[in-house]
Amino acid sequence: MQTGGRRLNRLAGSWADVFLSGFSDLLFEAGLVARSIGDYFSGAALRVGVTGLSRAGKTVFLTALINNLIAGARLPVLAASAEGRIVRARLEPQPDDAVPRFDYEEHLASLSGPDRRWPQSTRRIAELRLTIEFESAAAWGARRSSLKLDLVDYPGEWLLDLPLLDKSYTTWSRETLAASETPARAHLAAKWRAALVGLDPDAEADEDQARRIAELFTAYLRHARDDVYALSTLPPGRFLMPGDLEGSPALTFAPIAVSDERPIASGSLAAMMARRYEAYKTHVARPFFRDHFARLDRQIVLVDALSALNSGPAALNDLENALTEVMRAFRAGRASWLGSILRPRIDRILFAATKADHLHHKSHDRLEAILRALTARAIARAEGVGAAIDVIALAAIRATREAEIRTGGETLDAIVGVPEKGETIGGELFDGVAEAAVFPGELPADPETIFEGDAIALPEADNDWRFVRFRPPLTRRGEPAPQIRLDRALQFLIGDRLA
Amino acid sequence: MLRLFLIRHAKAEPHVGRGDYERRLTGRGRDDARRVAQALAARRTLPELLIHSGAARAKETAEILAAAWRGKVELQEDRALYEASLATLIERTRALRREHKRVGLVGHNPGLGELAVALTGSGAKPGLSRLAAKYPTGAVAVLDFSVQRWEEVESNSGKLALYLTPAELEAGAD
Repeated sequence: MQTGGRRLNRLAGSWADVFLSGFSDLLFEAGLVARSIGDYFSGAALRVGVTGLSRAGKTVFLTALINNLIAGARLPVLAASAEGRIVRARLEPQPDDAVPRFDYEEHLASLSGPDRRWPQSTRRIAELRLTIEFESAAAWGARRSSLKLDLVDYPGEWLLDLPLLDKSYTTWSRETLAASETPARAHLAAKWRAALVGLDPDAEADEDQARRIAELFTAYLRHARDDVYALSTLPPGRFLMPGDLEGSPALTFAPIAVSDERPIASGSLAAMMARRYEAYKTHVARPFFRDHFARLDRQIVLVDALSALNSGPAALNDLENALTEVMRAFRAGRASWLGSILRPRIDRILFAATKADHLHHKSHDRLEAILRALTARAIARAEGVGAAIDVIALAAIRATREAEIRTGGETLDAIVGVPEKGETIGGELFDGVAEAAVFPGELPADPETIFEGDAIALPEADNDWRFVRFRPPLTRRGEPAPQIRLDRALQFLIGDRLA
Repeated sequence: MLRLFLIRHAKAEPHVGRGDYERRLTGRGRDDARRVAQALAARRTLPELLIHSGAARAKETAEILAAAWRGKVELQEDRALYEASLATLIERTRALRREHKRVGLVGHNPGLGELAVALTGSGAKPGLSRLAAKYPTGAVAVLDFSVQRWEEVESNSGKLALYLTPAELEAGAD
């Protein structure tokens, strides 16, 4: 069963490759950026990255987090809040002119009112600055302080581009082709792979052909990520999450079978593909790591483990791999002698399984255990990096409540919510208005068992676990919705800076 | 127009005793093959040439089809179809001779199912999604290509004219 996942694992080459690729240059450049901002030395500012693969719940998390802080919601596990030391939190003008603002108001509006729905997904980088005024808890008496909190939201897919920085077009092509032939992916990639049969890499460069192959390749990546399969994506990250590069020629390339043995002929199709690949690295991947990623102090990685559970073992193995690759990016940001002369970068990483409200609270520990199993390899890699790492199960917005339901003399734990329009439970179709009580079942006690089974991702209906999509809860305007462990996440991410 | 029939061998006996190449059809497999043969005959859509991989289960499937069609089809063996990758199957398809306008390949998964997905660019939605989801033993996909020569067959260029599986035939869909 491990083939799909394990083979992909070799995709990225070794850490040493990445380091030698000039990542140190990136760190150096990033260090210069950081040094120019005085706040970052005074300790009064913190940049927190919010990421996760597509549909992990980034936008909802960030919207709820800001909403809770601004509204002064009670957050018992966040010490500063529990001790009543948070005076207020307010939005600040956008700090970076070159980065779009996180559209908090729009997202909050979409979550409220009769037409409430989950907000649009993160398609590009966005940020927002909050200032939190608080009373410090110093032993010699209260003192008013403030923390500038920059929240940076970006697609986790982009982190998967890090290994590309050190990879030639030839190597990347070979590895991506090999991954596409694994059982879970082979038929999803069939159209693109078929387009490469008989293709002469030395033939004269042809724009139409390049575009056609790139389209089939992108369609494969998109198909692999679809609900039914939920396979995690392969780089390049912008093919699925193009951000402001939507429709740009910078994304008109794809792997083709080129030989390692001889150089790529100039003017050929392969040369055109290789040139565009290099341009992608230089103008897209590298600036993201230099300008954004390397400036983060802390990071939360949101993981939709339930969707992967829905899709089966292949999707879980694939997700595990993607998280390991994501962690490579964090490790690369620190494990360098240059790191010691720059100010410390990411020192806390939180992995959070989202949508915990889809389960009864008795299963939350098991969800955390599953996430721990999913991130074990990623975390092992980060050991010695110096970052503190934690794993939690949360729901930034809780769309359900718990209930006990008696049937036939037996009392069952259920969750109650309004299923999204079009969801079906036991053959019953829901209209987005009626409530339903769902018995979510129990997650396995031994998290390792989730990785066992057939290597092919199954349609949802064929799986042991099936989770329903619920509508956002109705709240009074401006009031934060209930949450599960959002406060614990905040305590880990910013609690020490509000001390 | 060229018409390609992609036929996965019918249900075969398990892999015990003899080698994989020698595995024969089960009784159920033979029934399924006959059912598929009749369904195609009823639609008056038959290949003129049927090429099998030489493996016992593919050969037997091809022979049952040919017998049901009363010898109106020429049988050939191409060992390259056995355990063929997607790339090999495309190469063999492109190497077909143009005087044969309607050709059937009787082969094996996963290559055959991948080939069907790879070549199918259009067709009726239910057939397309069923084809992408599963390509069981005895299944047949019929693809039409609006080209004159087999070497012009490309990824995504075929139209799915028909997709049949033994299970749905047995369920009385036909």
